[in-house]
Amino acid sequence: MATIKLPSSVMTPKDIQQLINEVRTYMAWFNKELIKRRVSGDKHIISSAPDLSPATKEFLREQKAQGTLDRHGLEQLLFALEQQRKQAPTVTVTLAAPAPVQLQEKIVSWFRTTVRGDIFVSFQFDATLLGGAVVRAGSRIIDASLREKVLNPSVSFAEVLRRV
Amino acid sequence: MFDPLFLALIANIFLLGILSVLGVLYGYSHLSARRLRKKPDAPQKLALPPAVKQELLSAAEHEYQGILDRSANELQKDLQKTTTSLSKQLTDFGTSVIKDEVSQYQDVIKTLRADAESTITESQKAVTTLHESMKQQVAEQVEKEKQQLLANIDTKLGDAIGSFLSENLQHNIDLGTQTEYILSVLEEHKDELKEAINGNH
Repeated sequence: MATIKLPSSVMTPKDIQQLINEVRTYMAWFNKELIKRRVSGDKHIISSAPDLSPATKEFLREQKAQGTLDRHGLEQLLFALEQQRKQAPTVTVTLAAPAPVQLQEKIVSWFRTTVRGDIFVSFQFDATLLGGAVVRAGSRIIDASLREKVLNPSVSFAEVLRRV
Repeated sequence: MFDPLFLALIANIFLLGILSVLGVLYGYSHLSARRLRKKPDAPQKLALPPAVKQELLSAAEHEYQGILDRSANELQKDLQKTTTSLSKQLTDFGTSVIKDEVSQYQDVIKTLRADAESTITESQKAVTTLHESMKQQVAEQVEKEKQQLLANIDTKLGDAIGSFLSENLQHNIDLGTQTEYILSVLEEHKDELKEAINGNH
């Protein structure tokens, strides 16, 4: 099954679950509207759409642009989102401080562009890192923090002092 | 009354008896004659005058004495010769034995001396080798300890500076300025991340 391109703001499995719930809410409203139109015969009666998060709205807009937002399309979309939530991998990125949303979105976008399109990224922070990041993917840990460079330098301090 | 055959038999027996007796008698007389012929004749004695006897006796004594004297002289000469020869041979033998013994002794002394010299030389070599080896070991040990001390100083210095930086930099961290750095670090480890994520799924 093809990967569904998610917005950068949908980062973690929890975010996609929220997206699924909102899409399900939207689908329920959509089906209700469809029945109303069939019954009344008036194609123009539309009640207000449910309150959705900006991420969900953006997502549905993109899906509509691709022309898949009918009843069947929504069912398929939901099914695909569920599958993606179950199967997609998650990495944990630890930074030296709580990351602002823009930085988080940039990092998530990088992962989805470079590594894998359906990946989830969860964020943590640890002040002792001083800078950089520690990425944990499954059993593998990649420590690219400033703390690692200070404590395990490639060139010893004594060597540097000799050159000074 | 008398059988003619019986009478002939008696006559034959009578004749045989007579012949036997005659044969025995003849044989006895023959043997007796032989014994008489074997018996030797008795020796005949010759009588000489006493002066002649005495002269003959003196001459015999004189000749006998001469023979004895000559024999004694010859014996003495032979004895002297034998003694001289024996002495010479003993002297030669003794000299030869002493010479051999001295020669053997000298050979043994030479061998012992050569062995002693060789042992001393080898001992000197072994001592020199051991000395060099110990010198090298000591130098290696000193170098090793020096490197270890330098490594310890390195580590302690690194730890001190790391702690200093950690203590002073971990507050008021601005991630906004680190954005490019974080992205460049992720880019640097891109292949590892792909392997870790796509390898597990």
